[in-house]
Amino acid sequence: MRILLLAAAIALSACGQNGATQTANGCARTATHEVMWSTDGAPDTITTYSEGPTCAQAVVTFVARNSAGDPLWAFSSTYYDMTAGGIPPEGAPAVSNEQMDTFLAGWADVTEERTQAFLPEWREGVATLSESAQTFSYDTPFDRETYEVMRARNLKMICYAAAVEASQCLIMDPASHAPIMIVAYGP
Amino acid sequence: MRAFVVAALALLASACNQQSARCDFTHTREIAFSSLGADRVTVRSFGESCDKAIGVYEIIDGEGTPVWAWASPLQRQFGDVFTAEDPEHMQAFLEHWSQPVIARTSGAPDWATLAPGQTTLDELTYADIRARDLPMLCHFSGTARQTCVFWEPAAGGAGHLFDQDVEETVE
Repeated sequence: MRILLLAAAIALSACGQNGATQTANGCARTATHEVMWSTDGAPDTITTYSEGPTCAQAVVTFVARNSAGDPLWAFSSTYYDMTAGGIPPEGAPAVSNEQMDTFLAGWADVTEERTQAFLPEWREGVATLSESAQTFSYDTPFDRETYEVMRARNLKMICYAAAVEASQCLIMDPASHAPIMIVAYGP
Repeated sequence: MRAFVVAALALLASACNQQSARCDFTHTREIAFSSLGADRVTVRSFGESCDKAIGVYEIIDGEGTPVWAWASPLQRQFGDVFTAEDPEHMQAFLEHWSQPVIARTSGAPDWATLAPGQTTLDELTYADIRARDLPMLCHFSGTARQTCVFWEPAAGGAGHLFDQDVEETVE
């Protein structure tokens, strides 16, 4: 009997290790939201996660997966940077599970748009997209010609928060059928 | 009693198998990057299987505050090397991935040599950070691709400096 109990203890120990470091995670929360984006008729799932010893010290992650469960996109930041900017000052108030749940649910609820309706025109002769835009500051990895082609195709687009006052918008590249960021924008 | 222990062992084995079927792994490494010095890098993979896993790279300062986090689908950034049948490969990858290059911002490329999109900073800010010779950490963010972040002692936080292609590859 003692041998069996010892074997159980060893098995339990080995099971827990699993080649990974165990860390305290007092803020493991999650939220999900479905969107129609990457494939017609098959919803994608946006899942947002938090993990950390406390919610004030949490790293938060945004993941988009298609209906087959294949990951399309992921983005990570810290809770504090996403909600206040920077890192928490000394004596910053604690963050409750409910506050985290509210944040994660809102983050997963992405904005669904179309490129032509939502994105600003990059006027001919203007050096950057931002100089061409009226309101926000925009960054795009594309040159003007490619950007305008993408915009004119009126592609489905999702936009998510990437910082306290910044968003990033994704499209499915018509050529590669892979997600790409078309703009990042903010004040 | 003996039957009870045997049944418990069987349940335990079943639970272990369920856990290993997923691709949830973590590797942590101590580093010296911020002003506090006793920082750590934690890299994580998570997903139903390793061919569909997300990778997260975290830098956490000595007070337990995360100062940088980066994530991507691993197969998208590092290629078709992660299979559902080989979680050991993922664990080996995480151990390698957690090893950053610690340098100084004075070693960052000159503004004039940067390609469009390599940094999100404007020229003045980039040049200032480079001139102040701040701590810089570069981690792999793809095959033959590194992301470099700098430590800003005045703010007590880290920020993205630039991305660069490198010759070394991650297997």
